[in-house]
Amino acid sequence: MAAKKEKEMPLITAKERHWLSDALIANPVLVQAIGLAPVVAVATSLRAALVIAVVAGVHLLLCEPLTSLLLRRLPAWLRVACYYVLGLALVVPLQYVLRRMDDPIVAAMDIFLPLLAINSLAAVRCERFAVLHNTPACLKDAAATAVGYGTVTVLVGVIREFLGHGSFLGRQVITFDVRGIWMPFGGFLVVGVLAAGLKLLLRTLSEHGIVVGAHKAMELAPEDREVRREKTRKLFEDAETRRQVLSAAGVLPPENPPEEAKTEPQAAEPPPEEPAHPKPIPAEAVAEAEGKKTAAALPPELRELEETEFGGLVAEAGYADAEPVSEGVAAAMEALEELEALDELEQEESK
Amino acid sequence: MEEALPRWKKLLRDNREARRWNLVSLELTLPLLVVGYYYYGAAVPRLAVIAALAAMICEAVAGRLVLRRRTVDDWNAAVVGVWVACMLPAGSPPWLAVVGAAFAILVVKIPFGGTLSAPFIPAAAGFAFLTVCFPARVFAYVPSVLVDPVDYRSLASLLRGGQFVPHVRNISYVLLGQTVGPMGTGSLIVIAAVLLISFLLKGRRTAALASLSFLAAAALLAFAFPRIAGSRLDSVWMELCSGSLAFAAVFLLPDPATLPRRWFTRAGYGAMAGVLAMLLRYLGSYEESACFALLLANAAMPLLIRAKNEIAHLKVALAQKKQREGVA
Repeated sequence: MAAKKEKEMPLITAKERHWLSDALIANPVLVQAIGLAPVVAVATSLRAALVIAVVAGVHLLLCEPLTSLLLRRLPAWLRVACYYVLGLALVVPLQYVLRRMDDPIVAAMDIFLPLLAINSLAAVRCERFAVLHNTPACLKDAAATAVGYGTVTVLVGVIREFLGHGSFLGRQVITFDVRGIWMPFGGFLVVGVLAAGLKLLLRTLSEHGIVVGAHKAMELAPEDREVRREKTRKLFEDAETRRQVLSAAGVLPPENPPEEAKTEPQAAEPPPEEPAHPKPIPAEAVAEAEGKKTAAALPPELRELEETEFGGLVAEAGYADAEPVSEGVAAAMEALEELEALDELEQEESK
Repeated sequence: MEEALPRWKKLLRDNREARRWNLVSLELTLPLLVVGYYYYGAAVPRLAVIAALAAMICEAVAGRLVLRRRTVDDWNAAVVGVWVACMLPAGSPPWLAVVGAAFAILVVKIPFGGTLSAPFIPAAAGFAFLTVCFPARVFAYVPSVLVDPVDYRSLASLLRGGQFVPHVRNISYVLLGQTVGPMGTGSLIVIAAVLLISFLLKGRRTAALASLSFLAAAALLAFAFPRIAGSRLDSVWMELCSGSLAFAAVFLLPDPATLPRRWFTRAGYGAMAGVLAMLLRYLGSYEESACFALLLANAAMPLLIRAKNEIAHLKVALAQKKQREGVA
């Protein structure tokens, strides 16, 4: 462990990792637990799983960019209805075609084929991501989520078909019949085992120093978290960087000294070499100087979000396609998020 | 977290106490295995040992990998394996007992933290899994080597069909377990003796209260809604003696991890499980439903306790508000 502390820990942030890695790290089924119903109830064979994967993927690839372009201007309740209308527009023709072909899949999926139209996957991803990001980012997220969802669905379908029927794509391979696997509880079992396997894989990757994202800080051992925390704090030693980060995040820099300075014992007079704290610059002025829209220009629904967990994303995106102020500031902002995540984790563990 | 545990759970956390509890459970199960051996031969202890060994191996491996500590010392895995085997037919293939025991340990017990943390009774879940996945094998009962039955169907399936076979009128056959059924759960007399011993043992008294309330609720429903064309009292004896109902009440229900803390809550928990078991017998798909009833009760009990606590907090808050208003 001492050798690991000395080893340079790669700080690969969310911006630097490949967009497709979200299919694994933020897998919608195994990590986020969304869109479970079709996977658990209906993915009892490879063919059914392929139908679910394709329908869910196409639905997502349509909804997210459309939400980013148009639908985010609508109120939330109307947006959700639009997702489901799009889903119906996909599923109803599909069901008609499959019925005309007299495909046994229709009978096997029963009510769950029409229910794919209201799969929670599209609604959740659109509300969590598409509303707050630009169209290229939404396309990447939709593709990653669709790949992740489809992969898990197909895997679950293959496993359940093999264990439940002893077949593959309808062809008998071995004489094996475990009826319980066809049932939803069997689906939950398979999904649970896959989720445990994914967690083990990600933990192994992080233990070997292959840190794949900001939220992977959760997987670090306590001693490694301290190393990461130190590196993150060093980014804030520079007062100028700190001011820019806090301004760009829409938080006015405090007039009083920051927390690190507050913990120092109060001296009679500050040491002469310590630089005077710069006069706080309003966030609006900084944003205007950088050509980004200000928080005041945000629509009401996004302004509400600004005060919540999405505030950082809203501020970072600047409600536009603007790039961050500088690479250092962008890295510092992500490091700030990571530091907060580490602190939250420590608080939870201390409870 | 340690301070939040009730004293009896803290005591059981001590491995020595847990080991004692489980060894006593094994000792109380021995008479059933002896009776089973008397009726069905060497298949009974063989199946029980195989299931126990399989469960202990699964726990030893999974405990090291998942929980990162040694958990097999408390003998709980052996108890789970033996109990799963007791509920199976004497002619079951060994792999059936192994699969049931492995499921109970690997899926129901270890992922949730071990002996005192599993939210469901592992043996009940293991048997339920076997029932759903292999119903033909689980209910393929063999007749006793000693008694030549008039009917090769089990008592539970006879009750399900609303039939009343003449030889069953001799209640002693029923009480002694000389009807076709699971290999280790048929003798109500032995199970009643175990229940009585549990009342005498310190530390198991209130757990036995849950078993008693389970049996009382089941008997009440069997008396009120008989499934046979005979006297209501015969209905009570036959419902209690059929399948694994009494075994589930006396052995599975008092699981330390799932049993509520207070004695009246335990009684209510047992009664709820008894009612569920009978309802599933009347309306369910399988002739044996006690394990499913236990699992449902395990799922429902925390919700009921939470609702009860919420109501209690609300009452306290209202009382405090009234007090403040009165002072004001």
